[in-house]
Amino acid sequence: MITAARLCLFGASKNVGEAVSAIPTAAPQKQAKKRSLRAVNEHFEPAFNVAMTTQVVFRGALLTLCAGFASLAQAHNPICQCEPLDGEEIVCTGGFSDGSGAPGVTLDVISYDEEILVPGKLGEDSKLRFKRPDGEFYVLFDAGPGHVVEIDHTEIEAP
Amino acid sequence: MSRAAATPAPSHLGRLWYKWRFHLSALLVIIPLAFMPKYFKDVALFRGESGLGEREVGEVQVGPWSLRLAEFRQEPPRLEGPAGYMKSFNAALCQACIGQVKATYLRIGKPRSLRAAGALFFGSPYRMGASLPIPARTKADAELWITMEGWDGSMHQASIPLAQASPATLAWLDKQGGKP
Repeated sequence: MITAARLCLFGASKNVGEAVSAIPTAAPQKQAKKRSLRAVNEHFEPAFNVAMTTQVVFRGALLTLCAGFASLAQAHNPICQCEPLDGEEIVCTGGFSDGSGAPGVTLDVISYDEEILVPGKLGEDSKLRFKRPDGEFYVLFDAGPGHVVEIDHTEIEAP
Repeated sequence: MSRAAATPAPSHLGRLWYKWRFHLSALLVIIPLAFMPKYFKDVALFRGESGLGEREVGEVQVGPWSLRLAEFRQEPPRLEGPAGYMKSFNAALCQACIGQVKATYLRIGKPRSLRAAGALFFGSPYRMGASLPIPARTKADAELWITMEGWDGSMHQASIPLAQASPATLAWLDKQGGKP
């Protein structure tokens, strides 16, 4: 007996009639029975094709749904944290909220009058160490327009 | 002796189950229907059929240009993992400025420079979206600054009180009391 599952093996885009004719004939004595089934299948071919199309559409919808949830879960907001080390040094760590690091991303230390005090890039470990500048400054993690994080010097407390 | 006599009588619970199981299965089919209004409301919001956002702030003049600003959802900022609390806003550029504006940014407080102009609006100029980080220490009198950059290199800025842009965010800040 030709089941719907077996017909699925021939691909959704294929007609049921073609699928039936493509089934290899294993035993000659069963030819007559297969011919009769072909008639049945040809009769129900439109119905089978509609069912298969529905299946394909359902699979597509499921994939789209999964992709939608994946995009919701994978927010890509920039993150930057700066901590004072012992002495006069500060270490800043950059990254993104999906857990990825930010090696090579620009991190500048800028004074309040917009002078770049430390032009830097994060290292392979997504970190940058620099000497704490005198005066008022802020740290700018710049991963591109709209993907920036500012950290004011008042937020980087001395140890 | 008949076989029926040997079969124990079904318990009270068993009888209830056999009597009502069909109705229970029908109820399970009906339950998702209760969520349909919310589903269709969300679909209308995402497609823009119910407006720019759940709460329209109004038209904001930014130099020679203007935009319509709206809160995407009328709710407090949402915690988005390690990035902190984020609030989504939508905006639509004025018809005349669509071809002139290169980028639109949103930030709490006046930007120090164009590099640090804040969250970037992305999407179609008729319906752009930006996700704005809201620091928990934001003051109640804070202002939302809109920075628009033109293709000709010009830059224009405007601000509106956060209380006007998002009362829900302000209520959330009051509740937080400046604590992260």
